[in-house]
Amino acid sequence: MSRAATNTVALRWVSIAIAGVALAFAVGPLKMVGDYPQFIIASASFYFIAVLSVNMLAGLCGIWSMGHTAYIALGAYIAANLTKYGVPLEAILVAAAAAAGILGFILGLSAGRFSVLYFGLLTMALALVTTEVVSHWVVVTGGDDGMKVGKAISIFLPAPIETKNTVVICVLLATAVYLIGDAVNASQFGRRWLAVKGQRTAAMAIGLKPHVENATAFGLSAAIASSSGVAMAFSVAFIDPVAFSLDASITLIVGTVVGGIGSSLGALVGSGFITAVPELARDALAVANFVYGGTMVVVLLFLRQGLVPAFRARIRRWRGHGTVKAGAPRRAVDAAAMGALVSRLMPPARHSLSLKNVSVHFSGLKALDDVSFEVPPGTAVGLIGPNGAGKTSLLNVLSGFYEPVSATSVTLGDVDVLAASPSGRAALGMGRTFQHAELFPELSIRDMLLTVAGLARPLRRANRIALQDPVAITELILDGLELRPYANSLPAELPFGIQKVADIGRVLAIGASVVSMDEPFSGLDEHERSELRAILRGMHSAGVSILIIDHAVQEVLSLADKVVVLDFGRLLAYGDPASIRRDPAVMKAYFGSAHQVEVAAHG
Amino acid sequence: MGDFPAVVISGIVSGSTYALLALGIVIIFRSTDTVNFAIGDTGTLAVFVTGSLIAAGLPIAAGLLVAIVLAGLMGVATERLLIRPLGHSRNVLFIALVITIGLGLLIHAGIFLGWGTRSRSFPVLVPGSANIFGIALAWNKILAAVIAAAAMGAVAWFFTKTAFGTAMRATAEDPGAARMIGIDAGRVATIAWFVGSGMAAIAAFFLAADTSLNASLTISALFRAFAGVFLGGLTSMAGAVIGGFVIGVLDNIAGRYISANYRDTIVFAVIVLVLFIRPAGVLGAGRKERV
Repeated sequence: MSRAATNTVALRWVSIAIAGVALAFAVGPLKMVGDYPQFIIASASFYFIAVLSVNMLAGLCGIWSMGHTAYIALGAYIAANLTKYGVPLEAILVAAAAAAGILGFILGLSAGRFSVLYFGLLTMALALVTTEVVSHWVVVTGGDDGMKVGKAISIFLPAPIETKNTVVICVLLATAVYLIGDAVNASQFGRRWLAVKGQRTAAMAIGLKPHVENATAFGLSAAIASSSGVAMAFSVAFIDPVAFSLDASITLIVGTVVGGIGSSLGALVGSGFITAVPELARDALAVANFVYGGTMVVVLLFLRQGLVPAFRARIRRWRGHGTVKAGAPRRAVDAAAMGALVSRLMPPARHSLSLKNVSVHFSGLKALDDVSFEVPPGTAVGLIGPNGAGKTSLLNVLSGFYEPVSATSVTLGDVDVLAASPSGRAALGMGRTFQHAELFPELSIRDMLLTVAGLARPLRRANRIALQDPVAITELILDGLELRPYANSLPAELPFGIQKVADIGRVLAIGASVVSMDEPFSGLDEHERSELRAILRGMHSAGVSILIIDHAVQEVLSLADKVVVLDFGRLLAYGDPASIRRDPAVMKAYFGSAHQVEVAAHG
Repeated sequence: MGDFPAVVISGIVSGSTYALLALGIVIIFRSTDTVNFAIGDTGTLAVFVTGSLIAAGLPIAAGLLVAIVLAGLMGVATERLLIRPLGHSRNVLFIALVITIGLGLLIHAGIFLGWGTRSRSFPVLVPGSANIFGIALAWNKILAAVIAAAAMGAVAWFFTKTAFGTAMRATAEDPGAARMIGIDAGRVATIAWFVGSGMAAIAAFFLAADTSLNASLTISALFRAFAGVFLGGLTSMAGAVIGGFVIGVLDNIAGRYISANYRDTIVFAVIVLVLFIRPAGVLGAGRKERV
């Protein structure tokens, strides 16, 4: 991020903070509005906190929770019960956030096991159970009759806070939550969660553990939701199960959908909507539902993302971020410069990657049958073979997505690769690229590099690489791979060739010294291929071990030091390119006869 | 434990309502990948209209048929107007669910506007009650279970014995291949939404007679139906039916022997436990992207 952009963000945050504090004092101690507007502002504030917690989870993780009323209830009843014992507001907020955060973390761990839909329905069940527990656990909740909430005590104030002044608490909390939401969106956490949301597999390949990321996000979201409950309890001064019913959960979903996910502003618009509608339609109960239902259907049918993101997308298009400028072709990357770039980013490989007797079966089909070979440090090994030879299976074993049915060992130096989880392999210094690039759909190229470089810091530190600062690494890669014109673009806005270059950028950002590449040449035109050759030569000269898997046999033979040939899961040949060219078994497997390969090789 | 048989039998009788709704949910889900949250409200609205017709002189039995057809048509309209325009993309599954939640709110509001917020009484098809293992069970509830069983039997026959039913199952298994051999996905969706919503109308019809006619008629039954669907798996029709009955019995047992106050909690605790062992449901297909 440039300094000007950083200043803009700082300015925005300061203005929001000042506006929030000013509003709090205007409606609170200064009594600039009447009782009714004061109550509406308090309600809008605690609704905002609740909607933001749901919104953040949906926007950053793709997890839709319909059970957040459970955490709001938790906050509200913790507040109601602890106040009896004179516990101050600040301690209550911390206790509620801790309890909700821990429960949310545990629930979040399981989110990855289910689809969005199933998890949504499961959390809805949680909302239902919450209502039941709240209605019947009379000792703690007062049951259906509800319970009164005592006055809030603050450690900063001499006297308890009068109920009508609790609007200050609500507005200040809402302001803090707005800023937290904004900060999370712009932070490494937000980017990591977006990476997991968009591309689970690639996220694991850069070292993220999806279930842990989901759980952390869920825990944070639940903690935020609990503070909505605390604010609600003090400003309403009386809580009963109706506030935490399924209807309340659905209202939060309405607010999230209408405002649009993934931004604090969206949550603000959405919470304004769900506060205003029932107030405007107080005399006709049905009208509020009518407006909710109708708006939800119309927004989803016509502005799928909700109001704020739809508006933002329009601005983005208008500013021309979305389209990549046509014109002069991208400057080509030169091999020598690439070598220099790679040596600043990655350590030279020091250990052999060695596979011994690896077998993978799919219900009887032998995808890999007792395959052994070695990638010595700093060599480029090509892996070729006809369709179905087991190339991709082998790559998935290295990435940890397949577990071999049997293997004597897969090691990198002394380290047992198979013992590491898919997310743990990046930390061993292993990286990979993908046949279809598999960039993170919601991260710009710059944000993607920034995320990965941030994750790679411990690896670089362990390898004693001088350059560790994620921002510097990102800028270096943007320039080195000539990606700067596309830095702010989302992957879907870029041509496929650029996406593949960006994927290589991602593996450079990891700082891996052993890189597997899945069909790097597929889908590229001649110009892009020559550029990729330069990139690969540069990586090679910097001492990175490369395993290239590709159908482009000539490309592989010309780049690789050693070539592995697979056929029907078996190792057919292993040797230098010249000997592979002459190997009759290879010719037969690939082309059916020895004669044709001469034609193919020289034609 | 002397009343155990009675507890189980009345559980099965209530379970038949859950099974009907669960089957409706699964039939619709298999055709368009939509979890139709408005299915209960659709049935409820149809029964409200029918209730007015019955009050105006329509025979009660004919009312059941009218309710089924009305709900079916509403289901078809929902699919055509709200679901089909969404098209197919990664996020549509959840968006479709939220749209049906919105539709549910609209129907709810519509009922309030049309009939007011007070519950009304709804006639039973057959009066009186039978004594089974020492408990009184209304004949109307028994009839409801019988009709539910008949409806489920008809659905089973349709899906296994008729050519179009088989084609519909094929579409659910592999939409791409079904399109290639010329099965009209639009027609499949129309029939599925009609049948699924019709099932909900039967459930709502007897629920109304059992309690009273009100806008929230199907809500608690719908949740138990969803629990049944979780148990059986979203893609299995047999699983949904069995799941619905199991929930009915489980709910009754929990209410009778453990705690009447925490029925939902107990039922959902069991479901969550099952889901952690088998995320796709007991009988669900292992197609992860759909679950």
